[in-house]
Amino acid sequence: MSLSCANIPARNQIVSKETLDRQAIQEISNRALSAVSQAVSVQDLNEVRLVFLGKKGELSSLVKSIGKADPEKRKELGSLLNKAKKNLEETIVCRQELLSQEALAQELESEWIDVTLPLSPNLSLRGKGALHPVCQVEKELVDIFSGLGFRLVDGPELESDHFNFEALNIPGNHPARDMQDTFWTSCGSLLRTHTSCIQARALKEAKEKGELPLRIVAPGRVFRYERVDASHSHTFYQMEGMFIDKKVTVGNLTWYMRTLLREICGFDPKIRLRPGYFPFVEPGFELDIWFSGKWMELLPCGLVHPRVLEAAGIDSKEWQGFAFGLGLSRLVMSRYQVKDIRDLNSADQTWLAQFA
Amino acid sequence: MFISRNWLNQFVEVSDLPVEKLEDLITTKVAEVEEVTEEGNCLSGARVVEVLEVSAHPERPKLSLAKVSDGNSQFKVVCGAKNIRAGMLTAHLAPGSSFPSGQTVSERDFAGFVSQGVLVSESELEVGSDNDGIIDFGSDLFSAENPEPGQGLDEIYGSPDVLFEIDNKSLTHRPDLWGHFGFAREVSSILGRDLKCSLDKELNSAGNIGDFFQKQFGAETEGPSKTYSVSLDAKEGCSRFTLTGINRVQAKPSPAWLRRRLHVLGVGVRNQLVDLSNYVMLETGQPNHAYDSDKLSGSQVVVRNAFSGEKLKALDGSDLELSPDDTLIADESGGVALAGIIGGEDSSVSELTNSILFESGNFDAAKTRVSSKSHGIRTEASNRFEKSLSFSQVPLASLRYLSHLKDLQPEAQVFSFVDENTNEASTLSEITLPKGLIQERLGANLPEAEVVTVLESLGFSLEDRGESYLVLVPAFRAGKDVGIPEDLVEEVGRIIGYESIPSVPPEFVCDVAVPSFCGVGFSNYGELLKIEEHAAHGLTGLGFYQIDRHSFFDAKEAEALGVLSEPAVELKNPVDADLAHLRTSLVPGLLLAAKENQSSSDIRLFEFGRTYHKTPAGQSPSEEKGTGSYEIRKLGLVLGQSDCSGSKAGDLSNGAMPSQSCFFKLAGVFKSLFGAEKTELKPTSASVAWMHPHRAADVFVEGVLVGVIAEVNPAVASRYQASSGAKNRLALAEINLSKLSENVIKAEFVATARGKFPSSFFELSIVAPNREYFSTIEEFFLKDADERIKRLELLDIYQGKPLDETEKSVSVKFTLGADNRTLGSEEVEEIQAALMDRVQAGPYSLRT
Repeated sequence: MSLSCANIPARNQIVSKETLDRQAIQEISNRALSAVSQAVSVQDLNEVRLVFLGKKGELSSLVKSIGKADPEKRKELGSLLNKAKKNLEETIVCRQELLSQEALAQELESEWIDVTLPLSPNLSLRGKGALHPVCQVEKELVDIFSGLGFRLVDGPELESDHFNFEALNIPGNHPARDMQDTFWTSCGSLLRTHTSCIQARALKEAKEKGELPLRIVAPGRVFRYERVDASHSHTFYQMEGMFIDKKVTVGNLTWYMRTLLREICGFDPKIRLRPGYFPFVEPGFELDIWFSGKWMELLPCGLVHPRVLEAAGIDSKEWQGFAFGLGLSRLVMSRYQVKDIRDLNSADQTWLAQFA
Repeated sequence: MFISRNWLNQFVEVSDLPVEKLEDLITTKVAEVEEVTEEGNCLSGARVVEVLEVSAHPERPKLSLAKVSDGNSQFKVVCGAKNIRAGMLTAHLAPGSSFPSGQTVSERDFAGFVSQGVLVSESELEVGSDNDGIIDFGSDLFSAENPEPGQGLDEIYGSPDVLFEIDNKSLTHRPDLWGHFGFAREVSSILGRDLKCSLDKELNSAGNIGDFFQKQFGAETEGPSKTYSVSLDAKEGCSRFTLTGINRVQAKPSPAWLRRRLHVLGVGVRNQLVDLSNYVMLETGQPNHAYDSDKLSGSQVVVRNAFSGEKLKALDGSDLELSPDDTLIADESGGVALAGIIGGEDSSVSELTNSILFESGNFDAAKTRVSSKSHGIRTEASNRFEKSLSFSQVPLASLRYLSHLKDLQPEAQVFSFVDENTNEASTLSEITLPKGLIQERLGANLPEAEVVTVLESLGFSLEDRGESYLVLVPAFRAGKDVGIPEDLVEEVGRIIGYESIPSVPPEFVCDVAVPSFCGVGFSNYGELLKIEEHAAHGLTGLGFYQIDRHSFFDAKEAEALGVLSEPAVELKNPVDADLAHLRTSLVPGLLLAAKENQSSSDIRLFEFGRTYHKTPAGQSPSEEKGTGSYEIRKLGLVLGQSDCSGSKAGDLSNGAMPSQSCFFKLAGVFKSLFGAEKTELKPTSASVAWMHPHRAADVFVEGVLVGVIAEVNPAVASRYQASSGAKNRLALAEINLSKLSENVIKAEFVATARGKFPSSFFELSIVAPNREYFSTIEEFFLKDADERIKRLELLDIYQGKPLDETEKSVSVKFTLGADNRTLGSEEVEEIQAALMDRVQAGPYSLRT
């Protein structure tokens, strides 16, 4: 704090209200500033303010005598006086801030505790807490797939164009890029728009480490450049699954999907595959589930596109596989009838307590 | 995109199929039908009527009273249209007939006059956009139809139709499906029905289009004709370009059925020359354009890259400034159209046009996309070219345009035709399809013959080469759609129906599946997840709720809180200016989470979340492929309780232990979860703005710094807790889970036997300076201590009389013992004495 408020000696010269001049203003100013610098509490400062800037304060009174001064000097004196008042006010505010900071520091000082004490949490009893609903559903699905021999994997959320697009058969000007509005960073990376990029990473790693066949499940946070409203968010969760082996068929894919859905629903639901286009699978499908008397689009899936395998250096004649994606946030919303996706990011304990 | 069932039926018989059946077939085998709408149902109930007399409504100046006749019956109607006049022919919906909405027309009273039905406009019938007045069948618009009173409007506008709305996204990879004929091909293959009319055959049999045009539509007499030439200078942007000069044409209104069809399919109606251009695009999928040839200068049309800064006024009125990335169609004096996207205003067809140049070309998908994006213009044409249309379909548009135009304007003549084509005829793709591959991929037991039949029905031709087939992809799919055997797997799969493939488990060896992280960091991901799970169970048991916060934060706020110790990764396109950075700390989000619960007297929240960090310059791990960043998985904790004491928690008078402070509650939670004996809290060396400077500790686990636990500086907390005032205190913790998991993992060990010999205990009280850390006292006693001292516990801390203000008394309890014997009393006394000596010799004194 660079204040000129301190170190100005007070002078005890009585100035007649009749003789307003530069010197008088200067003298009162100096005394006021000196008083400010000596104030040690907010009350002190309030007093200084009253004495000098109050209605009947010393500086305020001078204003009234401007009229009596030499007309030629009035303007100059007026501006001088205003400057002095403004300077004093600023100095007081400045000092006040300093004092309150000091007071807080002192207060906090007095609150010193021995942080090394070995004390128990001493928490009052309350109901069980809760895992976040997305986390619960994710665990449920991951458990099903772990039981089926799938390995949980994840990758970075700040992703490169290569893994998010190129390696998934979505080159530079591919129209599919339009479907996924992307957050770009000023470093040239992007926030992954789907968990499919984990496929690309896992394939590459499996190839490098000689770990084929590969069976993975990859839940994770994904991002789309989108305004937030009740049904859209720039952040949500997906879960990707991939099965790479020799001689994998569409029939194998539907077997796994039926098994998954049986576990989730508790019965064998009616499903169908229909053509769907995703650059990283060929053939590509939308899997629909028969729900409340109509077909509902549930998850995209397909056989892994040979170009995706080849981007990882894997011979697509020898290895094939299937992949699928699941909208985790969507699934949570439909399971718990959450109408507003923003609820999923709420920290409201009353809302969260339902999931205990 | 909309597909009209009537139009489809012109190519392949579908009129006998229930609509739901057709919808289901298209959805499950071709592309998703999003919605089905019936259209034109009201037309058969609407009649042409003659207006016999018109008089003003005595009370309502805007209404007229009219008497109309359909030849048999007369109706009195009240009408609000200004264009009503005696003698005109117009459209009438009689009581009992229905509106397009399905609502029944009934008699209605207008201030004392009952209207028997209504007179309607094209817009009210939903066959056009004209809303200016009731239909005037005497106008030019109906010169082709000659309507007569009593005629049903379906005879004029055509019969009722069903529209299938197809999800455009599901056609991204099907350049052949952007017109009605494309769908007809598919339906014909699915149903096994022959096409009633095959445009593919029509194109094939036409042979050389130029000769064909000359023969079929060419000028019969010598006339003032002009021959145009085309120069393809932008080979990358355009691989084929045809230009057909047609004269003796008129830009008159299209017949009613055509106007209705374009209108219901979502295309604006202009005049025959423009309408047919659109009609042909919806029919063949091939975009095209008609120029007024009199408005073009010179006799050469050039397809070239635009010059930098070159201008073009587009048909939609916008002024475009072009760059060399744009492909331009130009005449001698400059640009006349932005290739594949939009025509130019100056060369467009008008009512005065009597000679046109009809363009049909093939423009590069990627270049069209870039150009369309950069100008922000998306059109039906650009939308199609982006899908990599087949160059083979280019002349089909000219052929069909001429054919339709001749139907409407028999006097039209071709005076010029040019087809510049840089594609080689042999560029049609061939695929070597190993026999059995389709069955193997699908997992279906399918006879080879069926594979062949299905592929042939889709237009592929197969040549048996023993082990495999050589499959020739049909010309109309020579875009990027079909190129590898896997594409054929899809073709066969969808046509035979995926429901026919049995679901079977694969044969594979099940192996242990350990979680892993693909990328840098998170070296032991499985352990990290185990720790998370452990923490999650422990925390929920202690009443904590898990939250999920966004990855973005406000960098300014982060800086004010003192957590922006490094530059955060910045978004180029944030959704909000204060969400422009990726969080480097969970703290700002945790504070906001506390704020959301400001009315609660007991806040317990936790979060597992990542923070994002720039990789320091010079070390860019190759695995990340240039993301230039790494991520840390963290555990964030928030605890706030109204009974947490704030001030004077350091004051231990009356023997009160300071465990009411929320700092100790949260520290205690952490220690309970991860082991008090492994955890060491040290006064933080780097207190930052959000922390209470005297209630903050670095957390060490097995000697490694894993994070921080601190009470929130009350000045900061008050900013996040508007209502609760100074009473509420908050404590936060931010823990690096990777560091934690690396250090809490229990190494392999050998269990010691149960202790057989009882321990002895010994209590001691000392006087120490009042701000002496307990950890210091502990170390004082345990450093190089007798190995028979097994444990030291804190019993009590006391401050107050008779002690000095600067002093406190600390009582501790020692557990003494040995593995192989019970300590004798003299041994215990010896240890006691040594401890007391240690006190006497050290900085503390014994309290007696």
